[in-house]
This record gives sequence, C-alpha cells and structure tokens, in this order.
Amino acid sequence: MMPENEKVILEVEHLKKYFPVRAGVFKRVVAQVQAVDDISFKVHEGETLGLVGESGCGKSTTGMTILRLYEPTFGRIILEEEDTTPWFMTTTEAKRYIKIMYADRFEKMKQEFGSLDEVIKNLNKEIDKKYAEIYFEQGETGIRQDMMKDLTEKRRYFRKNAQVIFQDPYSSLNPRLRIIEIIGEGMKVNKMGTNQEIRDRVAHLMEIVGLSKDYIYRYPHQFSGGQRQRIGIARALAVNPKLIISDEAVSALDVSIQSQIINLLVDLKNEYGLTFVFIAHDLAVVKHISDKIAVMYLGKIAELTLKKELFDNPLHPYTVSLMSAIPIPDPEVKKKRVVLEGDVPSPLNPPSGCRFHPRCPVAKEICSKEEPSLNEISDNHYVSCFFPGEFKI
Amino acid sequence: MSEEFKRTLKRFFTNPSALIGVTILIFFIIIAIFAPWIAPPKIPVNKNLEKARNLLENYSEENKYLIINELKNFWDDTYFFAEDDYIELSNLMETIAKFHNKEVSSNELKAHIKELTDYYILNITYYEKFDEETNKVIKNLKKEYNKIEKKYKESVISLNLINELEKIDGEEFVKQAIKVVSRFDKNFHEAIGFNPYIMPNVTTTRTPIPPSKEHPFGIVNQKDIFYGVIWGTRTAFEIGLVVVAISTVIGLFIGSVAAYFGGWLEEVLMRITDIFMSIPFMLAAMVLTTILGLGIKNMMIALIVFGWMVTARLIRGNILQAKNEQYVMAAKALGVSDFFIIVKHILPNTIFPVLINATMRIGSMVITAAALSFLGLGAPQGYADWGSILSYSRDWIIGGTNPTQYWFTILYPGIAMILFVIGWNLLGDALRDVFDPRMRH
Amino acid sequence: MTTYIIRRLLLLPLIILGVTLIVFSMSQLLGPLKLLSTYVDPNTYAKMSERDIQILMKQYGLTDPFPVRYGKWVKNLLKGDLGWSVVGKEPVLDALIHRFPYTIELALYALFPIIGVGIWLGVTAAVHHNSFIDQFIRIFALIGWSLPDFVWAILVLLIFYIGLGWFPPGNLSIWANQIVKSASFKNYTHLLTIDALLNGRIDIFWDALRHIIGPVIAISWLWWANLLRITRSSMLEVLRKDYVRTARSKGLPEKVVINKHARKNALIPVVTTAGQMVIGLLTGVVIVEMVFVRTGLGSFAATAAQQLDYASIMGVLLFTSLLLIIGNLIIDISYAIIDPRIRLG
Ligand SMILES: Nc1ncnc2c1ncn2[C@@H]1O[C@H](COP(=O)(O)OP(=O)(O)OP(=O)(O)O)[C@@H](O)[C@H]1O
Ligand code: SF4
Ligand SMILES: [Mg+2]
Repeated sequence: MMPENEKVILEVEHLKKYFPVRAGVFKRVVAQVQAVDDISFKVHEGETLGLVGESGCGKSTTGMTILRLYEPTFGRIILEEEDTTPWFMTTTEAKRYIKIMYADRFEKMKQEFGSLDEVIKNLNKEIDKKYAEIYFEQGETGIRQDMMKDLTEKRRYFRKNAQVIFQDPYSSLNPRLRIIEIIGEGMKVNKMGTNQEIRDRVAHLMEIVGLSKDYIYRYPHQFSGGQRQRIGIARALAVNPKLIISDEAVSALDVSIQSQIINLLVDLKNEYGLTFVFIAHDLAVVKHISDKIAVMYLGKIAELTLKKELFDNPLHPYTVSLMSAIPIPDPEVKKKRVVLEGDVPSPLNPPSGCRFHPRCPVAKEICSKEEPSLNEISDNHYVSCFFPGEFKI
Repeated sequence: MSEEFKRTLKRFFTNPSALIGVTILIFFIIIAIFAPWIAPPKIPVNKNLEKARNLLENYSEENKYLIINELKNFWDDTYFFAEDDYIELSNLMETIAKFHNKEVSSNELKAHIKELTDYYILNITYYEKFDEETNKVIKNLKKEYNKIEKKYKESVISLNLINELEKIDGEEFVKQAIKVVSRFDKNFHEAIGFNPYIMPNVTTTRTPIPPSKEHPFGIVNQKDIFYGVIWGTRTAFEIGLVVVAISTVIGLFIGSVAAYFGGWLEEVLMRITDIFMSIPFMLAAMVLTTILGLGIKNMMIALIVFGWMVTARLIRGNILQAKNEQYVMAAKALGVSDFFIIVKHILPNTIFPVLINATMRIGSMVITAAALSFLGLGAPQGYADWGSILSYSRDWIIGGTNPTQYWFTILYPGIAMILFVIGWNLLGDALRDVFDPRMRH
Repeated sequence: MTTYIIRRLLLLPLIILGVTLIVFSMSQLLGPLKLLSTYVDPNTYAKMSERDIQILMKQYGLTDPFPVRYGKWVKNLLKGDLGWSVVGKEPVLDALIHRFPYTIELALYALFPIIGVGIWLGVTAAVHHNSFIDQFIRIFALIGWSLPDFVWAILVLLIFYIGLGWFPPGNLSIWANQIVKSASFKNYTHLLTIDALLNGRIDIFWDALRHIIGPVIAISWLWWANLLRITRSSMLEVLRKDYVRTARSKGLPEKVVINKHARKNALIPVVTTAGQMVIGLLTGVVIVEMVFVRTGLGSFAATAAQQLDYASIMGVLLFTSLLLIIGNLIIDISYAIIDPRIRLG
C-alpha cells in the first residue's frame, strides 16, 4: 500500500558516519569504524520505514545521525524540503559542506552543460534547483547566508519536529525527574505553553499512551518496562513532531508487551499522521508496522522496497536468509532455515567488494572484487547485489 | 516532598550506621553551637568599666559623676594617643603618596618611617624591612593607617557619647549609660585582641593537673583541657567543612569542565590533576603550610590546594558515563541546551558519589589537620584545637615516669577526635549504602 | 598494552616536570631573601653584610625573571644540588640519602605483618559475611580508619614502652649505637638489622628489631583497615560470581573453593592497595617517625618544617614525589599486565 500523500518528509542522501578509532601513544586516529557507509532513502509523510539488520550493522548510528545526536561524516539530510545538514555544524564545517555539496557540484555541471538554465533543468530535486539559482545569482555566500540565517530558529524547528524513542526503558528516563517533568521538558524548551497548559497536555498525553493521568507526579522507577516505554513515547509525542525515529523501541520488552506497544504506535501513526523510521533487528517486529523496509548490512543498505514486495519477493541473499529466520505461527508450514555461516565482519575493516560476500551462499568471483550499487530492479524495489533473486529457499 | 526522597530517607534512617553517625555528629554540632555556654570563655574586664557597671547597678544621683569619671578614665587609657597617632600616620600617608609620584625619594620616606618608629608609633620592623620588601611594607602601612583611622573615629564617637551622658539624668541616664558601657566593652576587647579560641592560662605550674570539679578534664600546659576540647569542636568543624567544601567545588569545576569539553582541554586538566596527585598529600600540605606561614588559615589553604584531585577524577568519570545515557540523548533531541542538560540531567545523577566521597574526606581532613597541629605546623600556640592539646600530651606522656599519671591529657581530646571522625565515616558509609546504584531498581 | 606502557613512560617526564614546577612555584612564595638563606649555610649567612647579600642575590639569580630562575634551579637539580640542609648540617641530597635507608627498613618490616594480617582479616570477614565475626572485623576497620595516627602512636608508646618496657623509641640503644658508629662495624646495606647480621652481631640485630616493632604496630592499624576493606569487598564480589558457584555446586569443599578459586581473583585489587601502601610507607610516615623519634624521611621533613629549613623540606618533597611517581608507574603497569581489561584506558 503506497501512501497517497507524496510529500517527502525525510530524505537521506549518501549518509556516512565514521567513528575515528584512536590508539597508540599519542591517541592518533588509526582507523575509522565505518558504521554507516553511504546510504540513501526517502520517507513520505505518514509513512513508516522499517530499518532492519543484525546487531552492529549501523541502524542506531543511522538514526542518531539523522537526529543530529551524532554529526554526519558525509551526506545530506533533508527534512521537509530543507537541507538541515549544516544547521548543527560549526561555521567552518558548514562552509566546507556548502562548498562540497553545492558550489563545487554546480561549478562542475556548469562546465558540463554550458548554460545555467541547462544546469537547473538537469537538477531533479527542488532543493538543488533552489540553491543553484541562488548560487548563480549570489555565489557561494548567497547559499551560506540563506542556510545559516536564523540558526536558533532552525535548530528549534528541527528539534521540535524530529523526535526519538529509545530502546532501553530503564536508561531512557532520567530517574530523578517526575513524569510531568520528563514529558513536559520538550514543551517547556520549545515554549509550547504556560505551566498550566503543559500540565494539561502531559495529562492528556498520558491518556493517549494508555496510562492514567494521575501518575504524572510519579517517578520512573514506579513503572514497569512497558509503561516506561509508553512514557518515552509520550515524551516524543509531546512536541508534536512530524518525524519519529524509534530505535528498537520494543526489543527490550516481553513479547506480549511488544505487540501492545506496536499496536499503540500503529494507532498513533494513523491518528496523527506521524512519519516513522522504525529500527528493529528482526523482520518480525517491523512486519506489522512498516510500509517500506530497508535491510541493512554492515553500514550499507542491501535491499529497500515496499513491505509486501519484500516479503513476497526478496531478492538480496541476505534478506532471504533473514526471512527464513522469522518464526512462523503455523506449525504445518515446515520452513527451511538458513543459518548464515561466520560472524558479522567488523565495520572497522569491511570485506572488499560486496560486504556480504564472505557469508553469501551464492557469491561469485566478481562479488569480492567489485561493489554492487543499489539498483532499482523493478518499480520501487532497490537491491544491491550482482545476482538478485538467485538465492531462494 | 517527593516519593523518592521519602524512600531514600526511610532507607537512610533504618540504617544503623547512619543512625549512630548522625547521632554523634548532632552531639558535636550541639557542642559547637553552645560552646560559649558549655565552656564560657573568661572574658577579660576593664577595671574602669567594671566599676562603672557596679555603680550603675545601684544608681543614685551622686554616682552619676563617678560613673562618668570612670568612663573618662577608660577613654583616657584607651584612646589617649589615638589622635596623635592618627595625625602622624596621615602625614606618613601623604609622604607615601608623594613617594609614589616620585616627589619624595625612598630614603626620605625611610627617614619618615624611622621617626615614627622612634616614637613607638610604628613597629621597628617597618623600618628594618623597608629596603627588602618596600611594596609589602607600604601595603602594611596602609593597613596600619586604616586601623588607626578607625580607632580615632571610634575615640571621637566615644567622647561624644560620654559628653552626651553628662547632659542627661535619671532613668534615661541609666539606660544610655548601660548601652555606652557595653559598647566600650566591645571596644576594649577589640583593642586588646581578645579571641575566645585562644585557650586562657588557668594555672601557674606547667605540670598537668588531674581532673577536678572546676576543670573536669584536667589541665595541661596551664590550659583547661575541657575548654580546649569544647572550643576545639568548632575548630574541627570549621577545618573539615571549609576545606572539604572548597576543594570539592574546585574538583567539581575542573572535572566537569574536562569531561564536558573534552579534547585538548580535558587532556591538559587531567594531566594537571595527575601532577598534583604525584605529590604526597601530607608532606605537600606540611610544606605549603610552612611556606605560607603557620596558622589555621594557611593550613586550610594548603589542604585545599592539594585536596581537590579525587573529586575532579570522580566527577569526570561519572559525567563521561552519564553523557551516553539515553535520557541525555533524548533531552538533546528535544533541544534542551547544553547548560540545562548538565544541570538537570547529568549533575543530579553524578553528584551523589561526589558528596559521599566528600563526607568521607571530612574525617581524614580533620585528622591531617590535627596531625599538622600536632607537629606544631598548624594551629598557633594555645589555639583551641584537638591536635594541639594532644601534642602537649605527648611531651608529658613520653617524658613521664609513671605511664598512667597523665592519662587524662590524651584521653579526652583523643576520644573527641576519634568520635568525630567515626561520626563522619559512619555517615559516609551509610550514604554510600543508601545511594549505591546497585541497590536501586 | 605496550602502547599503554609507552604512553605512561612518555608522560613520565611531563609529570616530573609538572611536579618540579609546582614545588618550585611553592618555594618562590618565600620571597628572595628567605630563599637566599636556603643557598648558603647559616654561619656564613649570619656574617654577611647587606652588600654581600645583594651580590649573592645577583649571583644566585634571585632577581631574575621567573622562567630563568626556574631554568637555573632545574639545572642545579640535575647536578644534584638541592641546597644546604640546616637540620642535617650537610647538603640536602646527602641528608636525604642518609635518611632514606631507615625509612626503607621500617617499611620492609611493616609490610609483611600488614599484608598478611590485613588479607587474612578481609577474607575471614567475607567468608563469614554478616556474621558476628564479620561485624567485629568491620568495627575494627572503622576504628582503624578513624583513629588519628598520632593518638594511636602515643598509645603504643605508652603501653609497650612505658608500660611494659618492651619497645623503646629511637633507632638503637645507646650502647648499640656506639658500636654501629664505630669503625669496626661495616655498613653493607645501611639497613641496621641486616648490617647487624652481616657483621655477626645478633645482639645489635635484636636491639634494632626491638626499636622497630613499636612503629610497625603504630603504622599497622590504619593499613589493616584499608586492606581488609578492599579484600573483603572484592572477595564478596568474587564469591557471588558464577564460577565460584559452579565450583561450589561441583561439590568442592568450601576451603578449596575459597583458596583456589575465590582468593586468587579477589587479590587483584588487593595488590594495588598493597602497592599504594608501600608508596605510602616510603613517602609519609611522618607522625610515627616523629613520635618514636626515629631517623627517616618523615621525621626529617617534620623537623625541617618546624625549624623553617626550606631547602630541606623542598628536597624531601621532590624526593618523595619522585618515589610516588615511579611507584605508581610500577603499580599501574603491573596492573595492566595482570588485568587486561584496563589496557586501553
Ligand atoms: N560512539 C561510537 N564510537 C565508535 N564506534 C561506534 C560508536 N557507536 C557505534 N559504533 C560502532 O558502529 C557500529 C554500528 O553500531 P550501531 O550501534 O549503529 O549498531 P546497531 O545496528 O544499532 O546495533 P544494535 O542492534 O546492537 O543496536 C558498531 O560496530 C559499533 O561498534
Ligand atoms: S553481490 Fe554477490 S556476494 Fe553480494 S549479495 Fe549478491 S551474490 Fe551475494
Ligand atoms: Mg542499536
């Protein structure tokens, strides 16, 4: 089911996040953990993107980088048609970013296409068109001025509209604050009303997430894991965000409570038209809630498509093996399980070529030499594999 | 009162070591507060004022002039030279001002100082030290001037008060006169530098005298041990609390700046911490006190300078840990500013180990301070301080022939000291149990 | 781990430099005149005229700017010139070297009883967790922790010397001292007890030992308390761990479980504490040395401080800081070798 609304809320382009590894006597950077390495995707308004993959493949890092709790190493993060990437950078970093992302690129295109109109015609994103026009009129400083003005406003806008729900129901709530302070903090920071209004809204939110509004003066330790997770959800909802990234929001809970929380999220999403990036490490969890699913492997996207398409027609060998690991409720269906050999390689030193090749059952020679790109095999079905669909069970 | 706080309190007050510790400390706090009543200091009295007070008690008209006479005598004794001194020093100040403007040579200034020392207005050291430490001498001279100026002003006021008294009679006179006498009392104490923390001499023989009704803890080196132990409680609190509080604040500041800003600043601050930790604490405090000059204040400075590092390390480690907590991330995602993240989310969750550590350090700080006094490097001679009394005790016990003869000199101050330290250690222990994160959830 | 060790070694000069800077800055608080008195021996100083003083001040560079003075001071340090010790009546470095063996000897004799008894108490308390014995040992530790060392030292002296006449203060009795000072007595190690044995003088050995036991008792309680606390808590932690449970469930006798499995693992933090104790014993037994009138670094420092002998106290401070730095380095490195978890820190 494709959402009718075509408005893109979040667009991530070529996102990379490397963590420097310092070692040795002088604590120099000796290597980079390539936690996220060049991933791109779009999320439309009201849509939910499921992000799945084994532990350590970079899902959380992706989420945290989008939320700018980590600074991206490279790439562009567009929220509602605005390039938010430089908003949290220092001035020098922002300058560098604008030069690489816009000025250099437009300059190159100008040489390629000759006329400025051609350049603009050949750009297919609104945001690129907008900045190309500015660039050719006012130069690099023009872009900079446009992007870096009203930074406080812009930051506040971003923080208000992109929210997060965490995995650990214990460490995600400050043990020394009352529920009203925890849920109301965002509203206070974003000046969303008087104390009285905030209190009323916190009480209301508590009811929305299925808790009694009488509990707002309690402390986190007085709640169970599932209840705490609901509080975490209320905290994210409180500022009326457009986008919520939920990082394994249910992984730490019992299975029965998991489904309660997922149902809550589905209801909220339908009622408020929220856009979700839903991170989980197995497909079973995202199955219910997602519209689109991106399968990650070692910092890269292996396969990205609509949920139905993915489950009906998985093309990447890694997706196929993940699929076989989902427990099936019907005992009649005998499923063949694929157990992947070997451990997940380290993102510190990823394998050459296709990162999956040491564990891939259908790997060929080329797989270790060249890196497959993420190609659109059929409509809206992206796979990064030289031999899509070859591996089947 | 919040639920959590109540629960914590309950856990705290059902903890036996907390109860014992708190009881001991409350006991000492009461002693410290009521020291002037428990061991009243022997307040020196001026003869004239004493007489005036006696006359006032059974006042009659004919006494009035006797009273005024006594007050005048007091005034003469106290302020006779005030005006002259003030004028002389004012002149000196002028010379100093000229000296600063290079209108007067340093030799001329020196000569002027000599003149005043010859009249015993100034201490001879000002003249002797002039060449070596000109600036310091001038600074001290200015202080001297301020003191004398104050004294002169007080003398004028006092004289006026006496003259006013002469004009009134009857009830009004008695009322005003009592006020004046008590004001003069204060001036008198100031003039002779009375300080209740200095233990008065109560006998003429130096040999310790065993406990008696009047001196329940006995006497050592002419000092009443009871008086010393009681007033020493105040000294112990002062040293322990001030030193630990200031050094903890310094450590908190350095540690949290290092943890929060990271990078080279952290590296530099933590290396400085390492360096300070590489100097043996007791010796360092001893040396710095010696260099700064003996005395309680300098000793406290020394203990602070070498006492902040543990806190700095502790808070840095805790903050680094708390920085990665998900609730800190969530607050960041909500747009909470760095400052509020530290104040609301990080510090409240990291400060308790620091406070517990501070509590535990109070005891050992007091021991170190007492040890310095014991060596004769801390509190000045005769200061009411447990370490000092114990150092008197050592001389008698070691030199004594009969071991049990002077038991009282070590018993009372020793017990006070041990109880005090045990109180703080028990409290720290209990706090650690109560706030231990492993006991939560 | 090698990088950890190399890093620590490279930081070493920096730390030493920092310590010298702090010590030097402290000495500069004295002002030039008092400083001069630390360079010349007091007899000469007393005879000097004002002009001589001025000249000497120039000569010693006391009027130079701070960095220059610091540079010169460090250069002197490297040459071993720490100034003149009034208390020792010899150059400071010689005074330190002459006194250090006494401190080492005391530390050596204190070490074994403290470690042995401390660990034994800690293990006993942990094994009998929450029992009467445990409570008793904990109170023992609390008192040791809260007992000011000078009070305890005086009490030891009172009981064992004045009361029982067993352990006198000082280093040696007068008769023994005369023999030791005489030419026929050879100083091999400068440790009295050992030299006595090497010279075949059992009587002097006993005499020196008799003088050392009192201070050892006076030092011990505090360190027993420290050591037994650490041992007890790490022992308790280890006893809760799975492999001890497994060993127990395998039916191994309790004694074997404790000796073979628990004690070994619990000892790692104990080793660190013991290391710190050694450093503590070498750098700061001021009070006990003073009360027992023993020769050593601590009593040297205290006497120098009492007599405002600035050169000497600066010297002791530098010397003990150096001991502390090297000692900590050894502890940390051996800890890194024993326990690989901290290697990256
Ligand atoms: N702050 C960091 N510094 C260095 N490396 C990091 C950091 N955070 C994550 N990594 C590394 O980046 C990789 C991706 O981590 P990430 O937490 O994003 O994985 P994940 O997919 O969320 O896994 P999980 O399912 O366990 O949460 C891992 O190899 C991790 O070790
Ligand atoms: S590219 Fe090759 S190694 Fe990679 S998934 Fe496809 S078949 Fe397997
Ligand atoms: Mg994760």
